[in-house]
Amino acid sequence: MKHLSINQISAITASFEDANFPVENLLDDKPKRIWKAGGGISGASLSVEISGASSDLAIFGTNAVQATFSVYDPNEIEWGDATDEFGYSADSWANQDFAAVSGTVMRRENTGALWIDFNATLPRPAVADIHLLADGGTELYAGVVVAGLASTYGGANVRYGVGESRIDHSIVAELANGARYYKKRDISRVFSATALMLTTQYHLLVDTFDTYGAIPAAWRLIDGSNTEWLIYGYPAISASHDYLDRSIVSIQITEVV
Amino acid sequence: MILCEFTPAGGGMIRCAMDDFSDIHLWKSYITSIASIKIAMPQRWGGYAAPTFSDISFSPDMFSDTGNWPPPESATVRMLWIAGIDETDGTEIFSGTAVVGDIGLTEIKYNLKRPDMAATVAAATAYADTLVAVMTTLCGASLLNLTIDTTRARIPSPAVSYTTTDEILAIDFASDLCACFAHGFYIEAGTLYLIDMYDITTMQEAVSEWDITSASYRYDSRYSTAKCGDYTVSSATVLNGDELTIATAYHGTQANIEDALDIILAIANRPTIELNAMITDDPLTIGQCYVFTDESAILPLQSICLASDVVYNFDSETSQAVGAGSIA
Repeated sequence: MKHLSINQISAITASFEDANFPVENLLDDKPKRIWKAGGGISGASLSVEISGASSDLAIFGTNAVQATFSVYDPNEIEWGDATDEFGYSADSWANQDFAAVSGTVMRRENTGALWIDFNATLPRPAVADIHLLADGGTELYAGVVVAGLASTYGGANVRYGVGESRIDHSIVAELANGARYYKKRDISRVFSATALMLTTQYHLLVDTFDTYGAIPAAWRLIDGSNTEWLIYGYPAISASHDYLDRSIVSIQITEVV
Repeated sequence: MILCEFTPAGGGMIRCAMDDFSDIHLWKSYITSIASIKIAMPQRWGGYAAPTFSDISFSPDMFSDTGNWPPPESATVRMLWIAGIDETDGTEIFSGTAVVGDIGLTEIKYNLKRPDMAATVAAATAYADTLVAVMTTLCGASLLNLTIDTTRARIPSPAVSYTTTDEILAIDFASDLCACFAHGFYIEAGTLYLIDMYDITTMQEAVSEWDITSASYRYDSRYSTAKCGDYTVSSATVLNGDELTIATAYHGTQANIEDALDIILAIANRPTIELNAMITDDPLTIGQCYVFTDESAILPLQSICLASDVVYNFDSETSQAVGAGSIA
C-alpha cells in the first residue's frame, strides 16, 4: 500500500492544449475537470515539474492507453543521465500498454488511472516527461496528475479480501406505473481494507491523515495476492492496537468524482 | 443539466454547472444548489406566466479560483438547460442579474433578478380591437418589443374596448387584460406565446405513466357567481359556492363582460390536476395541455391539465405542472 498525499508538482505544461481545457486543470483535485489535447489529437506530452523529493507519479481520469516517460534533473548538476542515476531502465517502460502491465497500472472504464513508480527516490527537484497516447481517433484527455514521495509504511500491504462497493450519485425515481426512472451520473468506488502494520507505521499513516484530512490523494492498494487498485480519493482510518508493537488498521477510501 | 454563465462586472465569464461537464467548454461543478424556478400565471385562467427565480448558490472556490474573491456584488447570469451532452443545444431558462446575498463558509448565495420590463402604456390610451390585435400592439417595438405567437389564442378573438385611466406598466396591463379574457401568456426567447386557457380540447399532448411520477386531482374552490362591477353571472352547476370578483372589465358592453365572466367562472370551477415528472428532454411546460390516463386509480382516470403553474427543481431534476382541466 502506498499513497501520495503531498503533491510536489509546481508546474505542468503540455505539448498540445485545448484553450478551453487548459493543462492547469490537471493540478486541481477534480478528475472530471480535464485537460484536453485539443484538435482531436490522440498523443501528447506532459512535462511535469516536481519541486521536491519524489518517487511516484499518478494520473487519473485519463483515456490514455499507452504511456512512455523519462525523468531528468532540470538543473543538470548531478544527473546528466537520469536513467543511470535513478536505476530504472527506460526500455522497460517504453510503450507499455496499461492493460498489459499487470499489477502496476490499471484502467477502469471511463476513469483510466496510471501509476508510474520511479523505482528510486529522487531526492531533489526533477522533471518528468510523459508521453500519453489515447486510442486512434480519440482526443486525449486527463483529469489529475499527482507526484511526490509516496508513503509506503515499510511496504506493508493490505490483507487479502479488500472490500469494494460503489456510491451511485445518479438520479432515481419511481414512475407512476412503478417503473424506474434512472438518469446516470457519476459512480464512486469505495474500498475498504485492513492491514497489519507496525504501530510506528500506523502513526505515520495517521499523522498524514491528521495533516491532510479528507483532501483527495492518490492511493495504490496492494493486497496479499498482489492485486492492485489505483484510487484517487479520501480516506477514513481506524485502528485497533491488538498487539505489543503492531496494529490492525482499517482503511476506507472513497473515490472522488 | 443546468449550465450557467456567470460574468462578474469587469471580469471574465465563469462557466459552471451542477456536475463537472465538458463539451466545447469545461463547465465546472461550482453550483451547489439552485432554488426551484416557478413559472406561474397570476390566475389559473390566465395572465402573464412570469418566471420566479429566487437564488443560486456557488461553492466558494469558484471565486477564489478565478480571482474574484470576495464574491462580486453582482454579475450577469445566463442559465441554460440541456437535456443531453451538447452545450449548444440548450434552452435558456434565465438571463439577468445575480446579486450577492449570503456569503457563507461553504456556499455563496446570489439572488437572481430578471431585467425589468419597464415600458408603460400612457394614461387615456384607447384600445378597441380584438385581444389578439391589442396584444400585438402591446408587443410592438416601443412597448414590450416581443414577437407574438397567437397559434393557441381563441378564435374568434374576444373584443376589447378599454381606455386606460392611469399610466401603467405594459406587462401588467397585458397580464390583467389577458386574464380578463381567460388568456395566459408566457415569454420565451423574445416571443410572447398567447394561450386560450378555456380551450382544453385542442393542441393536447399525451403523457403516460412512463412520463409521470405521480398525479393528483382536487377541487380547490367552488364559485357559484362571478362579478365584475355591476355585472354578475351565475354558475348552472355550482349553487352554494363563493363569489368570484374580477376587478376590471376590458369591455363596456354587458354581453361581452358576461361572456368573459362565464368563461372565467367555468375555468375557476374546473378541477385542479397536478402532474409530477422528472425533467427530461421533453419537460413539463407552462401553457401546455396535457392528457393523462391514470391507470393506478381503481378505474382508469383520464385527466386533462392545462398547465398554468410549473415548478422546476433542478437539484432533484423534478418538475411539477398544475392547472385546471377535467377528469373523466
